[in-house]
Amino acid sequence: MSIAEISSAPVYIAFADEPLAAAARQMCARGVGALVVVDTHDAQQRPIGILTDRDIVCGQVKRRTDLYCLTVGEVMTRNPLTVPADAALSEAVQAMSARGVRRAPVVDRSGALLAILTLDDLLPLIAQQLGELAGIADAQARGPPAAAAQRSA
Amino acid sequence: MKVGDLCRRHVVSISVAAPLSEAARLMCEQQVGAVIVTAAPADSPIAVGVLTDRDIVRAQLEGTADLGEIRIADVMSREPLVLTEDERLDEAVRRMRARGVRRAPVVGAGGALAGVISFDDVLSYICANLAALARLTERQSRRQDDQATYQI
Repeated sequence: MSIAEISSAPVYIAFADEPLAAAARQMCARGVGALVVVDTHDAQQRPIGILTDRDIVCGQVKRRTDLYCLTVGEVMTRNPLTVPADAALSEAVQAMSARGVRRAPVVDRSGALLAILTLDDLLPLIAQQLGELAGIADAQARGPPAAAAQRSA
Repeated sequence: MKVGDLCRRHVVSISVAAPLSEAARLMCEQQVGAVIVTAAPADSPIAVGVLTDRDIVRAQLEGTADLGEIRIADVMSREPLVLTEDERLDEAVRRMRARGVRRAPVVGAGGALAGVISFDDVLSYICANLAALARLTERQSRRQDDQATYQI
């Protein structure tokens, strides 16, 4: 399964020069915990940051002002980890683990934003793989259907 | 496995009487996305709510942006799911799922706040068990390889 298939869709963006309050409002309205930040003039929408609820709160604390007086670019987390859409699942997990991030924008070969991959997307997938493995073990413990039929015959 | 065996004993908490600005500062200092809100008595506080960074942002958008002017009690999630130390972990996870929460305060027998348990704590625990299983199967397949070599 490719990263593009796993990752959450759609991904919501904010512009770096946008007022922080507008981005915060978008996050609340959409019920998402993060926006991918891009430059207003970049038609390709290459990710330059991530904005989370934490960034909004801590940006205000650090700069001693409120969200109406800040821009997204001032408080976002810069240089986000990006995951190529054709990366293997294990590569994405390892890269996210190494950087200590729960979410990463997914990009195409030119670096343009396609989607966002989150820990919450990965967990059900891994759980499903485990469930299938458990199914093999369970089936073997019960014995193959043919053998069971022979035994009972 | 009981909740008390896995929960964290260091609880990032704040009094319900504190201003929201103090809660925001605490979250940033401690690098956490949520704090447990407590009420008196001071020597054995009880959990009365959970406050997340999202609660703070939403409150600012709905009312004043001045964090010093917002009361924690008005924006926190009230009547939080409270787990007990002697509760079974699987039961605790089921209750967290039913309430749709990723973290819950943990109390001792007397009802005083004793810890906090999160989605991340449970995930780490399950993964540690899985990793131990994986090491076991690796060791066994190595042994089978060794035996195969002797047979040659």
